[in-house]
Amino acid sequence: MEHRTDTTEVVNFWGIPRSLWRTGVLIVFFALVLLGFFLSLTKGSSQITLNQIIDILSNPGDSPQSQIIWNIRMPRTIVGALVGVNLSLAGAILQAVMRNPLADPHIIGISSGAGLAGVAIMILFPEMEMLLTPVAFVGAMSAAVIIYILAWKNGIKPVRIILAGVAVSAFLGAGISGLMIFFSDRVHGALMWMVGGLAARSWPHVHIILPYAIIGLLLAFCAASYLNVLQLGDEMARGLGVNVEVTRILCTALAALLAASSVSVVGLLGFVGLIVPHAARLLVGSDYRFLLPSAALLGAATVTLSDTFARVILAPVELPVGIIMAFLGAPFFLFLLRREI
Amino acid sequence: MTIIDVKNLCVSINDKPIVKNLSFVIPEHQLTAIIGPNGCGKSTTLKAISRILPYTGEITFKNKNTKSFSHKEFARSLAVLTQSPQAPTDITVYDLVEMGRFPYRSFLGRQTEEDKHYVHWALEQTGMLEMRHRLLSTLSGGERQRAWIAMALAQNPEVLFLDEPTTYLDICHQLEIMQLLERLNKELGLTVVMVLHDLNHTLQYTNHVIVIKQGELVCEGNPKDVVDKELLRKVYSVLADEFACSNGLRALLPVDLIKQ
Repeated sequence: MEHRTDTTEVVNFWGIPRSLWRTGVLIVFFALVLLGFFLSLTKGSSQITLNQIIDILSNPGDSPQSQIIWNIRMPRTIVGALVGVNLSLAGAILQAVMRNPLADPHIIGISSGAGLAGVAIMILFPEMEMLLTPVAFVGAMSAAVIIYILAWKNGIKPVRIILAGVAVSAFLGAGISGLMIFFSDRVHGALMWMVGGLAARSWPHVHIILPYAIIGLLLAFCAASYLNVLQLGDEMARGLGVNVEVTRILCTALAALLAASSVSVVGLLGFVGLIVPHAARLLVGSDYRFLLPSAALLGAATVTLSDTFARVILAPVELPVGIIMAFLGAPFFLFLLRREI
Repeated sequence: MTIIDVKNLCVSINDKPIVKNLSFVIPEHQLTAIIGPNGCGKSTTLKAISRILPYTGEITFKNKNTKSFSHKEFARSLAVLTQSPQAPTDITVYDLVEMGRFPYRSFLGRQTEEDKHYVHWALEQTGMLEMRHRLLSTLSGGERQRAWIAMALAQNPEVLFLDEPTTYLDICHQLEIMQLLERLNKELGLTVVMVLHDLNHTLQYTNHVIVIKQGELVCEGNPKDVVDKELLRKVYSVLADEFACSNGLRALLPVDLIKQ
C-alpha cells in the first residue's frame, strides 16, 4: 500500500501523506453515508425529490409523501445505517481479538447464536418478543464463549477459531432448521429473518437498536488503543501491561452485543462485518483509532446503499438486503482468501 | 544491589515441568545474560519473570512481590521484548514506539506532552529518529530490532528483558545491537537481562550470567569467571578452545562434540 520514503511522513501510492489520506477517506465515507440516506429516501415505488424531502423534514405535514418519508423510508434507512455501523464495528473488533482476518460475527457463529435464540423466541414464545434483544445477546455471547473454549489450546490459533466457529455455526444452524421444521406453521416471519432484511423496519426497531449502537460506538472507540496493542500478539501485549484475557473477553462481549442488537432487528445479515472492516482496512490501514470510525461510516453507507439497490433492482418485488450482501460478500471473501492466506 | 530476586521458580507448560526450582538474582544496573542449551527453559524463565507465563515460586522486584503490581504498573517498571514479535505490516516506527506509552495511559487517555517527549527520546537513543516515519515492514532486520528496542525504552522501564535480540541478524548488526544495549546500560543505568545463544557476546558484553540446563541452575556469576571451556563441556557437551582477544577478554571456539 505505501512506498518507502526516508524522513518525511509515509505516503501512499499517489504520493499523498498518510494523515491527509486518512482524513480524505473519512470525508469520502461520510459523503457515502449522505448519499446512502439521499438515495434510500428518494428512490422507491414513489419517487420523491430532494426538495420535497427538505420540505418534509423541515415541515412534516399529512401529505402521502410525508407519510412515506416519516413512517417508512426514514426509520428503515436509520435502522439500516445503525445495523451497518454495529456489524462493521463487531467485525473489526473480532478481527483484532481473534487475530484472524476472516473473523466476522456471521462466519464465526456469533450471529448463529443470536439467531437460534431469536428464532426460539419468535417461534416458541412469540408473546415475549420484547426480550428478543437481550436473549439474542445471551445467545451470541454463549456462542462466542463456546467457540473460544473449543479453539483454546495453549493460546488462540486463527485456524482453530475459524474451524470451531464453522462447527458451532453448523450446529446452531441445525437447531434453527429443526425449530423451523417442527413449527412450520409459525415460520413465515422467521424465514425472512434468516436472510436478513430491512422490510417493514420502523421506529420501534430504531428504538431497539439505537441505545446499543451508541453504547457500542463509545466503548469501541475506548477499546481502540487496546485493540492496537493486541495486534502485537499476546506476549507483547502482556508485556505492555494489557490484561489480555480480560480484554479479549470484554471486547468479544462488546462485539457480541453489537452483533446481537443487529440480529434482533434485521435477522442474520451476513458479510457486512467481514467486507466493511476489510475495505476500510485496505484504505486507512490497521490503526484502530482510524479503522473503527472508517468502518462505522462505511458500514452505514454499505447497508443503506445495498438496501436501496435491493428495493429498486426488481421493483415492485423487493429483495432482502441480505441477498445483495451475500452476492457482494461471497466473491469478496474469496478475494481475501487468495490475497491474505 | 539486587533488583530482581527469583526464589524457587517453577514453570510448567502443558503439565510438563520446564523450569524446576530455579533461584537466582539479577543485579541492578548490570547487563545479565541467561544462557543454556536449546529447550533448557531460558525463554520460559524470562517470560515467567516478566509475568507473561504463570509460575509458582516467589519473584520480587525491588523487594516487592511482582504479583502485587498492577499490569500497567509492572509494564512501567519492566519492559520485555519477545523473540521475533509481530506487528501489522502497515505500522510506522513512530506508531510502534508510541505503543510503548500504553502503560502510562488511562482508559480514555490521549497522547500527552510527556508521551511525546519519551517517544522522541526513545527514537533518539536508538538512532531511529530519522526513520520514524518509515514502515516497520520496510526496515532491515537490525533497524527493525532497534525500533522494537525503542518501543521498550518508551516504557521508561528500570529493567529491559530481551529474548535473543540478535537472532537472524548478521554479525555487523549483532554488534550494533549489543553495543546499543551496552550504551543504554552505561549511560542510563538501565538494567538489561537477555537470553543469549552467543557465548562470546556473553563474555564481551555482560557482567553477570545465569547458566541453566534442563530447567535447573548450573551456576551464576561473572562470565569472566564462569564461562570457560569447562562450562561448555559440562553444559553443552562441546569441546572448545580458548583464545585471548585483543581487548584482553576471552573468546571460545567450539571445535568438536563430546561423544557420550
